Amino acid sequence: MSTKMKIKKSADGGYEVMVLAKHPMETGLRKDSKTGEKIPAHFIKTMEFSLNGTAVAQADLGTGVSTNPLISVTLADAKPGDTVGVNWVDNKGESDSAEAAVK
Amino acid sequence: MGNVGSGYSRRAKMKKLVSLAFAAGIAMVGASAVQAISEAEIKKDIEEFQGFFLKRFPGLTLEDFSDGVNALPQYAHRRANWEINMEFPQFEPEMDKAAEEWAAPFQNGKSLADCDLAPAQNYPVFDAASGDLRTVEGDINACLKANGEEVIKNVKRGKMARLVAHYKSQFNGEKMAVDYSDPGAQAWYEKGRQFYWAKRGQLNFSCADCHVHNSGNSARGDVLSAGLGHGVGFPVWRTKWQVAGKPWGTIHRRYGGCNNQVRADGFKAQGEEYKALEFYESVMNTGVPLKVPSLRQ
Repeated sequence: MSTKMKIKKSADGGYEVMVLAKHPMETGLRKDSKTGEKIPAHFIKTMEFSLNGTAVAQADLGTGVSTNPLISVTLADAKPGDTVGVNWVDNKGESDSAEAAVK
Repeated sequence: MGNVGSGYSRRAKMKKLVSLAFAAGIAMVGASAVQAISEAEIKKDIEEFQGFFLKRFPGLTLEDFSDGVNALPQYAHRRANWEINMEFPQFEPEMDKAAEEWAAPFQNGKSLADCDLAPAQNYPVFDAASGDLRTVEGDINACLKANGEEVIKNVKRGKMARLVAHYKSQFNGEKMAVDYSDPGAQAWYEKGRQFYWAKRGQLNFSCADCHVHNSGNSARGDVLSAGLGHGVGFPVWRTKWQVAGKPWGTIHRRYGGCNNQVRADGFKAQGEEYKALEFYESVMNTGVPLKVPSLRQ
């Protein structure tokens, strides 16, 4: 799993944080074309954003979100020098995180 | 079943193509079963093909067609999403990987960076010595072979696609300029043109049926792209292909998919049919800038 982050200034003020998570986001309904068996569900459940260590936003994802999701949030209070963190957990209990500084 | 020409005489087929062309408002000038196609005729084809789309989608410039279906007003509701995604595309890590692979040394110390490839905007390139068409995929494998390395077997996906994307992306912004001055190249052009306008498959569609006559219209939930600009964004990373873990695709992979969608047998990637088709489409794209890779639906 790998998670990448990009931060850019938002036109509406604040900073837009874009997170690209590498994840199959399997719904559990898709069948393996060779075996005919259903591929087990494997998807990100929650994605939490933090600003300087404090949680500021949480996204509840699920099977409606596609593979390798790109999630973006605008943090109104972010300013240069701040650290933005993201941490996600999936239905299997696997997780990953990333961090970036606001420039 | 999908094979153009079975059961038809060449003359009847030509007649059918010409009447189809007239229906689309594009005249196929001078095409006959006996006379070879000329450079002048190809130039006229380009003018008429491009003119058709510029008229059908007023407000779009030739350069806009680099964006493929995303350029069309009928796709406006999805364009914003595409633009955001293109800022941080899912293929970014793969492109970094491809850049590394491009510089990675062979057994003999050289690398793909030493290969003698033509500028991306000139492909497919007609090779007068062999009479064959060179594609980027073909040239990469030829170079690997010449350097004693193993060729890449799957020329539609994965490693080959990202290598082609890496190479072509270095020429982004360059306008398509395929050389069709040689009679041998013109023969390939004619083959590709015929493929494009011929009906095939259970659905009995030609490429033109969707991408000329119905460009901008919807096929179920999707918008049909314009034929103008086809390929300038390839290889592509398709979200549809991403689901099964095979997101990359070269243009020949897409051709196969399109043929399957009209329930025709697809042809071999890097085989004669698809190379000819790629040649025709690339000539029609003369002047459209490269924009590789693209993120598509």
